[in-house]
Amino acid sequence: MLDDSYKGRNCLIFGANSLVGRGIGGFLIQNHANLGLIDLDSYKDAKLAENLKNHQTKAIYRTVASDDRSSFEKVVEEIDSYLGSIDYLICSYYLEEARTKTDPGDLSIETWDRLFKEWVHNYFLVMRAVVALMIQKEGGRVIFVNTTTGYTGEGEGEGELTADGSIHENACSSAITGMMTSIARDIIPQGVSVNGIALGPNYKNDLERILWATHLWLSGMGEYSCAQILRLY
Amino acid sequence: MEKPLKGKVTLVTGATGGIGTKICEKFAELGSFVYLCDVQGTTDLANLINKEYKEPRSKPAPCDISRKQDVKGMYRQISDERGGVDILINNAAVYGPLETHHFPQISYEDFVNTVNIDLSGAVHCTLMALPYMKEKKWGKIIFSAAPLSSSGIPCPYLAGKAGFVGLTKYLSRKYSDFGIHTFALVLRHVGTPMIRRVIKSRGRDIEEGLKKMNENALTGRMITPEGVAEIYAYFSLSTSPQLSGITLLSDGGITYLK
Repeated sequence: MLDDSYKGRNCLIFGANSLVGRGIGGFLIQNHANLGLIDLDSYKDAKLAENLKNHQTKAIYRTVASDDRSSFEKVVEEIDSYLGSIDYLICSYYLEEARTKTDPGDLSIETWDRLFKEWVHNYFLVMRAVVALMIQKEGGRVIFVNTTTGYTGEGEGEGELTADGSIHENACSSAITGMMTSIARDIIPQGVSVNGIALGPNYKNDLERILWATHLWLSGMGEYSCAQILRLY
Repeated sequence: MEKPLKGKVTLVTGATGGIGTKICEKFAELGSFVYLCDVQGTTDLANLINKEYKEPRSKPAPCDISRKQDVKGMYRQISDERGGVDILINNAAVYGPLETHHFPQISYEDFVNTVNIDLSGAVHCTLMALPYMKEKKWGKIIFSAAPLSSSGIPCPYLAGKAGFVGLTKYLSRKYSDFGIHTFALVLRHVGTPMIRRVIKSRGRDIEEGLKKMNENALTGRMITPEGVAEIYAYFSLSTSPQLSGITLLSDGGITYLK
């Protein structure tokens, strides 16, 4: 059912080095989309780089400085200019480290500040920079990648209590869910759809479902879903 | 190129409705043989579908799904002819009484008649489909559902359609290991004849009513029957063994964001 639906489409992935970002990037490249890739670190995915060479698509990779508004704006403008527009935004930054178990007693204020900035602040900054451009043009589609814990405030099975050692994940991930819901209400009437994917504990082995959900949201089939999060237990 | 659902048998309830018709057409297009289940005649729809293809892709399955014996009879027919149902799409629904539908004025009979079709009918069809799906270790069960939120939806309709949310989760938990996967699309307004009848029953101009409904959605328009059929097809074609128990709210943001 993919046809050529991604041919000529441009996608910006924030968190291009994350497992999910790499997976979605590879999927989009195989389906002929052009990519703008952003992360805080230098480009790590040699396989994707090889893929890029094999497909006749455009791609650009840039690093951004965390919690730095001007850095995000500059990089997004550069990518928008290179690709011609940004049709899709995937926010898939920073999941692996946030899922490391951390008890409140072991979570220093400094670590919390860094996690909060890198995850929540940066999601806000990339959204702000990209969505403004989408609204100016013909709209767009945004996916927030999040965790099930953040979506429900609970554990990762239905009705389970919060998992041990997830204070930082609960707080950041729930904050992202709330932010996404509020942003959705503002920007959907302006032609930008916003939906999410909440990952379960075994998400590293679950790329097939993640890509299924990604295509659902990007293809237009999810156009009437507003701030909905597909939970992948 | 071989059609992706070739060899699969699909049963669609509420086949002649606005959404049902598009689902039947879509699944036939994907190569499935489609049984068209409805209390109303479906011969015209079957003819319309079959003339598009070299071989028959559909057949009427007249049935009142609120009656257990009728459902059993329909499944016997399908079993004799095609073995069983691989994909069940529980789409049939009645809105219930258009005039007296507020609580407590609504009559018990009207309540029962509505939920017997909207919820019990789907349970009848699902229970009859499960043994064959278990044997084949493959099955997709889909529900056209409504959100767990009132917002003016009459109680018998909502009792029936919101019941699918729980049913989807339960069946997934119980039967995923047998290769049977469930999905519910949670809908509010869809551009169908039913929604036009509802607007008319409230004494409103239909076009004005539709315009107002569209304005109520964040998206500024409502999902189409073709859009619903597309999503059902996408789920049915998924190959992930873990993709089950999903409820997808596709309401234009009306339920929780407006």
